[in-house]
Amino acid sequence: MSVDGKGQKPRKKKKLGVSGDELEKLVERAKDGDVEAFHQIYDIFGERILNYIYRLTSSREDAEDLAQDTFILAFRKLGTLKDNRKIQSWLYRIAQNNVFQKYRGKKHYFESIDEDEAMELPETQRHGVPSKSPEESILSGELGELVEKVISELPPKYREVFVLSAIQKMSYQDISEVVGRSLASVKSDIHRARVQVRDKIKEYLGENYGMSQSF
Amino acid sequence: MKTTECHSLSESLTAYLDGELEGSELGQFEEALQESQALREEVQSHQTARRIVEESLQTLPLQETLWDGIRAEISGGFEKSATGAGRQPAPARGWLWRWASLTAVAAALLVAVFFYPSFSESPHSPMEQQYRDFVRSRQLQEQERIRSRPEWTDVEDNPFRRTSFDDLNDNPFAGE
Repeated sequence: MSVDGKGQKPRKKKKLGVSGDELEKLVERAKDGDVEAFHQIYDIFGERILNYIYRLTSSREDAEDLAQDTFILAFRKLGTLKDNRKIQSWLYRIAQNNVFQKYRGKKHYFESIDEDEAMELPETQRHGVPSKSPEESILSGELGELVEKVISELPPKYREVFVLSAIQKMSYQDISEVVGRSLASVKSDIHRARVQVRDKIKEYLGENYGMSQSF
Repeated sequence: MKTTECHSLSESLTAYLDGELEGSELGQFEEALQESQALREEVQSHQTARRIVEESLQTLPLQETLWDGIRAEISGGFEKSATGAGRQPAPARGWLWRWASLTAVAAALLVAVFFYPSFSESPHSPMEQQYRDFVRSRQLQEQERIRSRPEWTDVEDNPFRRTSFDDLNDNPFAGE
């Protein structure tokens, strides 16, 4: 159904570029120690895992390091994966655990920002209405920086599900398997995260937010 | 609209835009969407935010060096480097050191084998030779002494003949 009269439909899930059967066969071969098959699995999921970690850590160097560790560990532990069809959520879970281990006890990642505090924008962003349109802001990279900042300031449990849903385009069921929480909890957290992100962008763009509905 | 219904619809809105609503839930939401202008505006507002997020975020490209590091690790050929991102194995230096040390050990063994016979056949010093001659002469003397010893053919004449105690009364140790 079109919501805004412009043919905008609810989004579809990102496709892997390989059929489920093919993926299962690749996993089976990789389980037997076939490095080339594992390379193909890496080609399918590598960029997603890298960017998932990058959104969680906000550090390119850490993301590359942890993505590498994720795939090394995955290859070594592949024999413990019971259902080959679950390879995607399994890889994400390893990635997430690696992030937790690296940032254990570190304020940067784990200290949850108070929700009211999280809603506040920097002084300059709160009062000044940007003179640029959203398109211009995107082109100049300002909006990208803002969005990255907004995501990095989300409480960790919102950040995880937001990234998996909004950026990685995973289904709620898959997200539930990755983060180990119930479907209802995931649904609720995604919604809260979406609202927070929307409100901050809206606050930043002020009157221009309305203009952005047409671009 | 009640607050609980509003909250439920709000959550459904996100699920709707994520393509997660199905069956009756989807039908109910679409019905509410047609009835409520406020809900339609809320949906539009969320769609705007979604587009901004999707279009403004940059994706990190996958560097080929990342796979090189993974392959090196899972192939088990190289030791892990602690340099962090884009880790590369250090093949050249490792092999070079390994070959160099093996060559050194082999060369040492060759030298030892080559020089061993000349070490073992080296002439003795005069003092050592004198001692060896002395020992040799003593050995010869001892052999001569043994050869010239009388043989005890007659058992009666044998001074080492064992005395038997046929008569127990003559036994000096009897009764002790």
